[in-house]
Amino acid sequence: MVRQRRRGTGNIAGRSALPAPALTVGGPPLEDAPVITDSPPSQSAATLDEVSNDWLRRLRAVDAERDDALADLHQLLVRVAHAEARRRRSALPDAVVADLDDLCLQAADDALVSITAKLDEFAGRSRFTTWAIKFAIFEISTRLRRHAWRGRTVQLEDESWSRLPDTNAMTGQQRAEHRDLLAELRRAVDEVLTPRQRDVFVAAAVQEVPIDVLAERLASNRGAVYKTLHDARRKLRGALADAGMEVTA
Amino acid sequence: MTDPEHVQDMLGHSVPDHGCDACFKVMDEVAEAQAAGEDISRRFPEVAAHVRDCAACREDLEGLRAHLEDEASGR
Repeated sequence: MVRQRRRGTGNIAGRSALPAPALTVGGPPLEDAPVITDSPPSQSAATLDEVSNDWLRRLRAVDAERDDALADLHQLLVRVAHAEARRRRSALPDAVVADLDDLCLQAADDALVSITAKLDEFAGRSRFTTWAIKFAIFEISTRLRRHAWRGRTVQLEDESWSRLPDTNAMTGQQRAEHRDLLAELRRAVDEVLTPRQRDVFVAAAVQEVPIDVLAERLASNRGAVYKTLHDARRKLRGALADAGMEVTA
Repeated sequence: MTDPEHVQDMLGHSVPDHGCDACFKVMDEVAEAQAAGEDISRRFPEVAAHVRDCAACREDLEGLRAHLEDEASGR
C-alpha cells in the first residue's frame, strides 16, 4: 500500500469539494519567451462534438445525473491511468509495479478533482475526453516518476558534476576541443550559476533526475523547477559563447 | 559517456520556450493534431521547442498521443 486513500467510487459526487488538486505544473513564464495567452476558442461550446457536449451537460447537471457523470469520468480516468502505467511498465522498478493499482486510483482521484475545478476552462479546442485525459496522464506520470525514486538520494551538490566522464569515442582534435568544452562548462557551472540553479542543473541535466522528483524534493512544482533549469542552461550557453565555445543550437 | 550530443541535451536549445504550464494548457490540442498526422512544429512551434528540452512534458505528450492512437485503433 502506498498510502491510505479514499477508495471506491461511492462518493465521487462529493469530490469536487475536496482540497486543492495535486496538479502542479505551475511556475512563472520563462523570461525569454512571450507569455502565452489563450486565443479565442476555435469552436464554441455550441459547435462541440456531440459526445463532448453530452459530457459537459451531464457534469453541469445536478444530483444523480451529475453523480453518474462523475462516476463515468472517474472510471475513464482510472482506465487511462492504468493504460499509461502499462505503457511505461518496462521502465518501472518492481516496487512501483506492486503499487500500480493504488497509484492509478490516486491519479484518477486527483485528476477528477482538477477536472471538476477547471471545467469552465475547457474551451472546446479538443474533444472533452482528450482534455480530461491529459490530467490523468499528468497525475499518473508524476506519481510513477516520484515513486520510482522513493528511497533514492538526490545529491544536490557539485561532486557528481566533477565526476562527469569524458568521451572515449573521439580522437585527436575533436577530443581536445570536447575536453576544453567540458572544462569551460564545469567552470561556468561553478561561477555563473546561483546555488539553486547549480543544484537543479547538476541534478536534472547531469544526473538525469526527473524534474517531477526534483520538484517534490525541493517542495516546488514542475514548471518552477523547469524555469530554474531553463535559466541555468541559458546562462551556461551564454558563458560558453563568451568563451568562444561553439554551442550548436 | 559524454558525447557532444549529450552536452547539447544538457544545455538545451536557444529557442523560445513558454514552459511547462503553457505546454500543459494546449497538450490536448497538440496530441489530437499529432494523432491526425499534423507536424506540430508548424502549428505549435513553442510546444515543439518545449518538449525537446523538457523530458517530463515530452513523455506526457507521448502518453496522451498513445492513448488517442489506441482509441482510434480500437484497443
